[in-house]
Amino acid sequence: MSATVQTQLIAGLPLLLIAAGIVLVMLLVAGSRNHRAVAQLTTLGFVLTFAACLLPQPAVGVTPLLLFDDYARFGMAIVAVCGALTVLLLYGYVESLGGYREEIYLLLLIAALGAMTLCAARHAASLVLGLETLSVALFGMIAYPHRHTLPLEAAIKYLVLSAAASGALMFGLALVYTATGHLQFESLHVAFSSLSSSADRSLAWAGVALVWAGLAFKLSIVPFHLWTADVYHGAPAPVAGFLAAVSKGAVAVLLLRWLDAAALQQAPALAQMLALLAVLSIAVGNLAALVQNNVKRVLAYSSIAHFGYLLVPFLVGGATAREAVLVYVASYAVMTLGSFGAITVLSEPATGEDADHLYDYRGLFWRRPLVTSTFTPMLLAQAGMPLTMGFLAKFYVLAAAVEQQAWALALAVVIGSAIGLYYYLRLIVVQFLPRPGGMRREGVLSETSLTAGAALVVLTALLLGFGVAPQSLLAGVTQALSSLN
Amino acid sequence: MELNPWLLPALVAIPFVGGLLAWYSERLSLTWPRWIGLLSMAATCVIALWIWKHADVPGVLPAADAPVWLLEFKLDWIPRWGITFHFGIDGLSLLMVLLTGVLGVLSVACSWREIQQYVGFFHLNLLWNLAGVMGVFMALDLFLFFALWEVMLVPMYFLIALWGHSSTAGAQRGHSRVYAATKFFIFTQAAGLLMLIAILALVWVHHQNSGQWSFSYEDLLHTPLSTAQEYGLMLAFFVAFAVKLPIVPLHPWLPDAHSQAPTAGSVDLAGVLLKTGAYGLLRFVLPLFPAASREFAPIAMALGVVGILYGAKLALVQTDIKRLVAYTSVSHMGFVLLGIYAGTTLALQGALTLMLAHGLATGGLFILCGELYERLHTRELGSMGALSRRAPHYATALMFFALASLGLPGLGNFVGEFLVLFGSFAVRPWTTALAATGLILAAVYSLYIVQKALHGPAADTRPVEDLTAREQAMMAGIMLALLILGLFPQPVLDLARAPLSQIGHWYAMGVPGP
Repeated sequence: MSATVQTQLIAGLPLLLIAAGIVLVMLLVAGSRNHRAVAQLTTLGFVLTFAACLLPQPAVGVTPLLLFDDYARFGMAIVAVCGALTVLLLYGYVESLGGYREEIYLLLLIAALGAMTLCAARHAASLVLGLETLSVALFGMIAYPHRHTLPLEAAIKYLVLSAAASGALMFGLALVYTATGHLQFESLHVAFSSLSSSADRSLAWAGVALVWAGLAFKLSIVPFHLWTADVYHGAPAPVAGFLAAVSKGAVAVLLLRWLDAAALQQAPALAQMLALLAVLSIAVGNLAALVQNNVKRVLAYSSIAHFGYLLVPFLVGGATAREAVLVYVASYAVMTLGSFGAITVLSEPATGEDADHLYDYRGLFWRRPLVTSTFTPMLLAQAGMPLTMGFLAKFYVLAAAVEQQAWALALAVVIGSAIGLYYYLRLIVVQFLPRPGGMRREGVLSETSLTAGAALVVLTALLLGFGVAPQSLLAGVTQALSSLN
Repeated sequence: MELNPWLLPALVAIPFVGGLLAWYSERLSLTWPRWIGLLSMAATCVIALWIWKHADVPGVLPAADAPVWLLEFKLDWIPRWGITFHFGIDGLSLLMVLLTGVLGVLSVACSWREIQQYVGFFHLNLLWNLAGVMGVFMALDLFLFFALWEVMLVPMYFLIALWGHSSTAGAQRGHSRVYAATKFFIFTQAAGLLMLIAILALVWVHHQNSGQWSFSYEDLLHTPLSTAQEYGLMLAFFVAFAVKLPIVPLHPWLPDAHSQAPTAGSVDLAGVLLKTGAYGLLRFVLPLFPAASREFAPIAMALGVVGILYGAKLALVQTDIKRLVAYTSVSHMGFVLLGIYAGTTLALQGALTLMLAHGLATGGLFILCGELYERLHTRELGSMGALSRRAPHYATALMFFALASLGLPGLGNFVGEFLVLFGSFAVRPWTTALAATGLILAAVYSLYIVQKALHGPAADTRPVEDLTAREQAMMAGIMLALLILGLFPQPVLDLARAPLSQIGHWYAMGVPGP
């Protein structure tokens, strides 16, 4: 084995480990069904992948499709952590779901493989490949409780709209290819700036606009957000958390690398359009969340608003803005997994509906103090309270906007946050209000409640730990970004 | 004697840890959380007095252009942004910390009988709120200041939302305590985010000039700003503090929050949280943006006068005794605003004294309102009457604080208002003259409470329990403090003279370069 191949194999270790995990889980399930063993094996796979991402290595390109540098490893590490925590949340959930339990871990691993591919992609082909691997696995995960109607409906909705978005994306890529003759992203940058004829240029920018449209669907930016509330509502709670954290996060990581402000500067019309969409997302997300009585739908609309905030650093550009995107992705992953984790713990999946009505949460603090102790910080973080990761994210977004003197966007973030407070507070306070009928301690100690509890404790520790002492996270972000340019 | 710098973080840490202990101790006994709360707040008072006794208080204005701290504590926090964990205390901060400690003790004491539900969690919120306020009064890093500024809101939100009253007047309009709490939170946090943008912009300008990221107060003092930049940033800071103070027209959260909050929450809000707004103006707005503040002063002073008269006017038409007291706060804070923007040392000292006296007197009034509610289960002035016969001790206390509130000479409020008017008259005679008419209205609404609640025919014949020993001790303590502040204000004025005259000097002349 030559030295080059060896470095390439080592660099590709995270992907290889996940792929090996997929094969092993498949073989194990084929041999004998053992829920606990499969869950343990999956967790081990994610933990090993996470460890492999932490190994210090040089930037290595593997084939023209993939590039493993610190930036990719940062994204893959987030995906691996989210994957491991999702396994812990899923374990109790599918245990009580009944039916075949083990395949969801297979789907989870495949989805993670797709997300990691996105983080490392440097070619249109690997982008499409990663995105489709992720989406197809997610269809299966959303519809996993297939005896119930809501998940099925959600999966179909996601499937149809996702296919349309993929169509737009691929059409856009084709246009870009027609105009420039390149599919590898590194050479696209140069090719764009050297386009001579205006016809080619407009073709290329039409293509980029379509690519943005396709990816904006995944990020649920207005007006491509219509699927969000229904899918979050219908999907099983742990899957919805994974979908929100990983699928959106990986797409944002990909976008930052290839389609950030520097690329947009050449097409001011597109940048202005996106700025408008950012403001619209903030407005629509926050206003629609105000009138929801379903906790999952509130979180869905709030995620639309969050990705409106996230678009701000994309648009303003600059060194701080790039840090802002990564900090936001990491923080959002923790906050949203934690929120859906709390819903997971409260749900009884056998009934066909998760615990997502506002009424289910009345008096929760007195009945399930540990769940509330997790859920409240998660919601406060989403509202941007200091000493949590959520504030760190908002701090970075505002810092990026102020640095580029984008006052209008900064003001939109402030107004959006102020509106957002209302529904986060409503969700928080209801957990403390007395519930007629029962205020006794609920919840039993069992293996399944312990695994989910462990996930919640880890998430809360991350949320507050990085919120109070963010230095190590920021160092990781800086290192990841230093490999770009 | 060398003071230990760890005393400053201890002022924040003691209530914080005390809160956790109080929460946990609930399962042992319901009395434990109360004692833990009382002792931790008493401990902060002792620390503050200890610092006062042993610190080297400068007698004259320090010649240096850098601020002088009695005690400082500094640790690196987030080097990427030049953020430090930096507490510092001078005479001004020390007095505010002491006020927080004293009102903290009173808040715990006045909840002894009122709060019977979720006792541990109540004290957790109360103590964490006070811990945040302590930090706000000492923070010298703008990031730290902002973090604590926001963090102290969450426990306050819970105090109002969970232990508040749903007053009959409020309920008719569909205004529950949750509504009041949410309104309070959104007002303050939205204004706070505006301040965050201003902080970031200030830091960014500093970075452009010096190449250093820093959130440190002392570094940012010397940031050169263009006129437009300075005015814009000043306005953003001003709005954030104006909501807290509150300044008309940013006050609508206050009457709702006050009248719906539990007694301890009202004491805490009126006594301490409003003061964070005034403190912010003194510590940050005037020194950081002196030129823009001078330009803005006529508007701010006019807003102060509007607040004085409008607050007093609205107080006059209230029938709910707690709402009435809440509106008097708006009126009194107008005097504070007037004094701050007059900017003479005399006026600033008056504003500070008035802040302390208002904290004590209004705290006392709110406690009395709470006690009345425990006894009569109503806060409507119309359903009281003849309390002077039915509960003479209670009536004496109410009379005393009503007189303090109208500015009777010999009590702390008089010293404060007198100094504010005296100090402002030299700067803006007509505005000051107009403000002084507010004192007449103050006499009217204070005596209106006395007349309605204490005299006249009784609304019913039920016997009213007079003050218990605990309540008498609390009242005696506040009365004594107000008398001392009214008769011997000199030690207080001396303690804060150096920082206040320095702030006044910067405000008048601008901050000299480093």
